[in-house]
Amino acid sequence: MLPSELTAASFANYPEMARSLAVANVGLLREFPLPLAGAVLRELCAYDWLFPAEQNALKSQFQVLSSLDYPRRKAAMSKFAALTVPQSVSDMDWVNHAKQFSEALTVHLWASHQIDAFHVAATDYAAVVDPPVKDADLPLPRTTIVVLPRELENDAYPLFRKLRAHGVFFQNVDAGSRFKEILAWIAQRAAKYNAPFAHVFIDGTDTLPIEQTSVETVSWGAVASLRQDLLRRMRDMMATPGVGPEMVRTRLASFSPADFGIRSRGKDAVIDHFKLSVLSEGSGTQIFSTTFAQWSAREILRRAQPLTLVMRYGCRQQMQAMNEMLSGTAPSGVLDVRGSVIDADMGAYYTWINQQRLPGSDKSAFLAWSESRRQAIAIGPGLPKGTDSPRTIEISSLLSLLS
Amino acid sequence: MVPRPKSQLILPTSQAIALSRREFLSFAAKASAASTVLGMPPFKALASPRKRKVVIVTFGGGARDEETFAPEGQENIPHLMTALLPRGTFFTQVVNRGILGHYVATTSLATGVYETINNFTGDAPANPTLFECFRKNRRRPAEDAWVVSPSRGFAHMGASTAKGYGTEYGAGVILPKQLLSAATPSNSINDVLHLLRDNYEEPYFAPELSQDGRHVRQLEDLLKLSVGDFTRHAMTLSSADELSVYVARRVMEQMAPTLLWITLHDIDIAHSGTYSLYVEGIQRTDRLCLDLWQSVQANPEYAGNTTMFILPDFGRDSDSNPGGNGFQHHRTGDALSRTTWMLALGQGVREGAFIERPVDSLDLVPTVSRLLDFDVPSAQGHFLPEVA
Repeated sequence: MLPSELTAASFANYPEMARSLAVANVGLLREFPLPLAGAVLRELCAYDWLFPAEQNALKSQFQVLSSLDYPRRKAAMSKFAALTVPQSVSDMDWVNHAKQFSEALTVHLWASHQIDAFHVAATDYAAVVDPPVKDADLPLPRTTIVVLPRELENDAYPLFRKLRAHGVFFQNVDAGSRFKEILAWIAQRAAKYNAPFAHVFIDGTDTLPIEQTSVETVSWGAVASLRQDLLRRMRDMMATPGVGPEMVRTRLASFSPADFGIRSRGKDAVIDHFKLSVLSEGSGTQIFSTTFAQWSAREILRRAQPLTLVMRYGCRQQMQAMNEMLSGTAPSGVLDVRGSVIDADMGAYYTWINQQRLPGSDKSAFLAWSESRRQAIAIGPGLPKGTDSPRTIEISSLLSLLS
Repeated sequence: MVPRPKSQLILPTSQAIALSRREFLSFAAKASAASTVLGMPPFKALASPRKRKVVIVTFGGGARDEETFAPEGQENIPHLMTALLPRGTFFTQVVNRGILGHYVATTSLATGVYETINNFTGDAPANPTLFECFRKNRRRPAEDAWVVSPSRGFAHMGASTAKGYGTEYGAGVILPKQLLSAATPSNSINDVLHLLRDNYEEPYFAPELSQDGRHVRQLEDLLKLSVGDFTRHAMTLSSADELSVYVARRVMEQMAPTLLWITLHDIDIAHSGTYSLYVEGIQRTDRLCLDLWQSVQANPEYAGNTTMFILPDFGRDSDSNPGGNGFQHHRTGDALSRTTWMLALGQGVREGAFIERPVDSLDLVPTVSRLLDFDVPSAQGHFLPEVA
């Protein structure tokens, strides 16, 4: 089937909101070259569980295309049209199995040396339908805080080296500063502006300190049973003769929260789908809490674009043989504190980079703080870059600097 | 939504990456001067009357400049920087234009053609490998070409499916982890589990291989090791790559092949997203490269008549590419993930030289084939004249 053959009936198996949006734009979708149609439908088919920012981006994409005359629309998609797709891939059910289609197309693009052309096509297309916005007018300046808690000790490792060039490095944060002050701060921000997924707490530890409904929480501890269930299924797949990596990926991609007995609705369904995607699509997220926290932060920033993100790292387990980890037979309770600090330090840098990719980056602020080392790096408008401050400062004062 | 770049950071080009490596040229000049004191002078080995040998060390898990040759990364590679770089010719810009999966890329390095086989099925390459061409052209016995590979997925990289070639002419492939698995009694398997991780790109997958006693025979007949000695030694090692180097050393001692290929893999732990383990992998690989070079120098069959190549198969994604997640993967195909380096050492190699012009990953095969005097008709790269 080609995109030009799409009809409203093609989307009969889509969830309600996704079907409605697809049917409303079926005329546009018929004009899409196949590689673009597959990429867009991969998102659209999950529309009911996308974050509001993603839903708005999809709707905006259709609106922008509708506003263009046909020649300009065609020009925006022309580089996708130039890509060759073999019949074995185009014959797939790319409407109802868009993820699998995307996997197969990716393999073909690499093998046929077209992957760079695909990236160029995607970049040019995005520049038309979704141009980057640096100075967006947000209700609150976007702010992210990354915390390395007291138990993450590694005196030998110099912290925040990659971030120091971008802000003020505080060498002496007051010893009386506590994480609960950051929780109070995020609660205040949520009270100032309350919207779904506007304020998120990602916790790489086993504890769950936040009880506020206005702050969405994704925590390593809270996904423990989901992780174990997913690992068990992965282990079963590995043990099944003839099941290769493509099949495993296909099965992982097809899981929904309902497959794990999670039947939530509305906002809760969105975050439950997000948690499952972090665990089923992320690499290492099922095993290492530091990877879980970093990847969750990356994905929540990219997808939900929250105004506030607080992220706390925990101690990850020591590396064991992968088979042992997957089978759950690795000795529990053996932690790698030193390695966790290094992971968290790099994760803080990546989280800052990911925040800077979002609209409003010229006004956004960032803080990374090590409780045990009593060091912090603060980045934001008005904070001089590449400077050190030896003065003692309380965490409350640092939070004030960000706003 | 299709991926879009929102970064305000500048994406590096291959040329820019190579230029950044120039930052240690001044170091290299000093090191080059020191090398006349530290080691053999350039081209000394050309006078060697014995037949030439080639040892190729690849990393099936690329490492980025930030963690290696950039100023902030040099602390992770002290042996490459101070002991090996001054003694070799360093190609600063080696570009891989193929599929960035470790098996398919490593196999492409061995055939001189960008293979398009599935990275995860472990199929034999379609084009003849340098091992087959070497053995067929030079009428060499099976013992003269060996591959030591990190995982079961690499089991078939020693010989192709090309007409007129195949296993009859291929290299013997030793899979140290398979040896260990076969040699370890089930009641002590937990002691060596940390060495048995098979694949970091797809940790839940490893192709099945038959357990027919072949691996135990390799231990006893080829490596002249008892199962007990091998297992006891393995228990003293901390990583799979250390096991590979131990086996490679044993291959050199027992068979002294003309052509030896070793692929190291510890760095690829990066796929788990743990930066600390990735850096540890780099530090270990750095140490193992020196171990291998010292083993070459200490072995009378190799000392003075061996050219050694060290190269990653490709790089890893840059921090600035929004399509990736930095060091963790090599999925974007950006310049950093495609651009790597190569160090040539030993016979016929000028010491302390830096080659800044771009070369291709495929250039390895024509260069090795020229050194060992055989043809690889299907190879698409070019001979590197800087390696005589």
